Amino acid sequence: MRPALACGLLLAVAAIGVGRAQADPAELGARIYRDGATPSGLRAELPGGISLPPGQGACMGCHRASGMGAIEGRTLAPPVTGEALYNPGSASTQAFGPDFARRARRPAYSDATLAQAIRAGVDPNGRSLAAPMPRYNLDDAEMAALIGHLKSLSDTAAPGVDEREIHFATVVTEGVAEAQRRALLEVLDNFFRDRNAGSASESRRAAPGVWPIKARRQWRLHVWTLTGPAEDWPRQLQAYYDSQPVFALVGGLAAGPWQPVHDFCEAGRLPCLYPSTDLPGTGDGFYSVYLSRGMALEAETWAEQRLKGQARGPVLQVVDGSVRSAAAAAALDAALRQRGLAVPETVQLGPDADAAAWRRLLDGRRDVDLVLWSGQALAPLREWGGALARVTVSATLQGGWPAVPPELAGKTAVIHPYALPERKDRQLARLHAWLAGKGIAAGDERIQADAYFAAAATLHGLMGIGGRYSREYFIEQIEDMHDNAAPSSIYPRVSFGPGQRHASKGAFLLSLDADSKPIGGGWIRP
Amino acid sequence: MQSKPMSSRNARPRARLALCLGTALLALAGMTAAADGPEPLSTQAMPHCHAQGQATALPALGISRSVARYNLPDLSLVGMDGRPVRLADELAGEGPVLVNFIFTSCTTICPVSSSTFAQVQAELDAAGLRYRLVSISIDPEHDSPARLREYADKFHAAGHWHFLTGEHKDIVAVQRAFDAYRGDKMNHLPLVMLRAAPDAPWVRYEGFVSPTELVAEYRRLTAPERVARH
Repeated sequence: MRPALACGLLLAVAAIGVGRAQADPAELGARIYRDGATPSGLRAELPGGISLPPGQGACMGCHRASGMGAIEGRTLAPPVTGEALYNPGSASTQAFGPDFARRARRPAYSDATLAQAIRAGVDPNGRSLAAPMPRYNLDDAEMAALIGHLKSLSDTAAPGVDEREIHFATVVTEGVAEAQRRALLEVLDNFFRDRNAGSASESRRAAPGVWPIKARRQWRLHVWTLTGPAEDWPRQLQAYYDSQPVFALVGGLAAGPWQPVHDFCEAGRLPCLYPSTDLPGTGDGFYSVYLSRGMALEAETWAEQRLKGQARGPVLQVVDGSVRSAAAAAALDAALRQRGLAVPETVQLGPDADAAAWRRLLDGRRDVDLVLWSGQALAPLREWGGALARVTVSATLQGGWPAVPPELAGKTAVIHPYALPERKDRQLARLHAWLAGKGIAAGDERIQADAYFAAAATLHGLMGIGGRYSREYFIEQIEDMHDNAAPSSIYPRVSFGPGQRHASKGAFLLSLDADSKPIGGGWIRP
Repeated sequence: MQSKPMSSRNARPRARLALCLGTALLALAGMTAAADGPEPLSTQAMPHCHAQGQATALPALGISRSVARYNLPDLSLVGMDGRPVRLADELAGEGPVLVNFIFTSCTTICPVSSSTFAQVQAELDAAGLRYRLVSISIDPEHDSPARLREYADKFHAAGHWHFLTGEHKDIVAVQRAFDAYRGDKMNHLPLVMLRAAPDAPWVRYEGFVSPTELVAEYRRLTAPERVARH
């Protein structure tokens, strides 16, 4: 289905659902599954007298959006797709204990036995279902709606995949510097080439009668270049998609907010993994996955520290007129307000503001807690050490670690959402060896690392779904993957969980001495 | 992290055998043996015990019960108000303590574990008993104090039920000390530990133990004859 069309339908269905939930079984079934809620009040109860709080008994919690189920520790939530339920269960694994193996051998469910399982927790053999499966008080219409939804889960292979190939795209917008575009595409091209080279021998072995394995699909990368105003990007994205549907978007670069791409992916139910962006999309989303919350995270980190740190003088933030700078300032306003703190004064100074400009701004002020949302060097501020309690810069907007003038030693702080230099070098050692092996010159390190991370996540996700090309199942592999793994990433720690959509959750806020060395502060998760 | 591996030198067969028996009565005997021991029993020996406990205790429900002493590290975690709290103080407060591990975005076992604690809270409150419930997040990067507060509200957690987060390394150390660390939060197990008093051993439940069973365990652990022996 065309993403835009799917979007329209979804919105239409959702709009109807709000007003007349009973009237639309498809929406009612989806809502019971996703939210664990019915208009009359759904109760989810466990044997042993436990009643789950509203929403905590949603089917999706355990069986996931794809219906493919999940494993947590030794707890297994089996698949509940129509295909799984309406065929006999035949699992012979002992991995989850003899009890599970006994339960897994069951006849196919019918609508009647499935309803009995959901209401009374009894399977078609008459055995009670495993402990964490609640019992639900659904009436007949609700039950029919839910069963209809289960039958629809992961029932067709996603677009962008055929017997021989899987198509992916990466989005690059106009206005992205050529060197950055090249950094992204070199990594993705080489990763895809490696992957396909590895598949060639697999595919020969998979020739009929040789080995009982399936040929691996070749990965195809399409570059979707967006031009002109962002308002026109949805149309361009749709045109690219219509000419060649893709299974997922991998990486990406935009000069400006990622929101239009985010919205396209959510509307079209298209996974979108790890674009390199400081302005990720916001709002409810399932299919868009980011490394970090970007400028919003940096602003919130600062606000959190301001709240917790000792009281300082008035906050003054300086913006440079760029989109990222404006986004950071707006996010700081909101973050301070949310914490019950005063909204700061915001002043625009061009990136090349000279000493005179700073004099006009700072003359006569005392004890200013200055936040500099720009790439402006600190040198012109050196004579204003007396007016400043502190000056904070963003390593992202500075394009690296700031140089601290001696007059501002101990008064300069940096927001740094990335791993600190020494640790980052260790984390990226493998990436750099890989780049060197491919003959790729060291370029924009963050873009190269993000692109590699996105490609590696794609590989991990595809291995996890094992040939079942459900985009929801693919995203669920991503949700379950990076926990405590040593990341080939510029971020110090990446982790996920169900529903989490940003891999790195915090930033360093460090005060610096005259050698620009950290002398205080730490990792903050706002 | 802080716990010593149980070497063959200090592994006391008598205590270990007793500890591994799964019924409540025999486990209490094991608890006494452990409490008498000169060496704290390490957590590394416990997986062996769990297998036996699982086989003998409540096999139909997949629940195992065992008794252990854990060498808990002396470190601070972070409470729902964002302030640091010493783990030892959190666990040593008034009344027996029950501990579990959760994370707020966990949709599989945590709603059940947390609902179980909610029910335990209700039953102990109704009986006017003293207790502390401590739920430790194993996803500290995501679970800020604000997220924990929101989660606590969902389960109607009251004053004696505390949720803790902290630095990643400290959270890992606590999990290791309780033999609860499985490397990845998606491998985490339904687990409850109870302790009657700071000098008592821990009773450990793996599997979906019911609130009724936990309250019964609480009553066994705090029965007058048991208290008198300490």
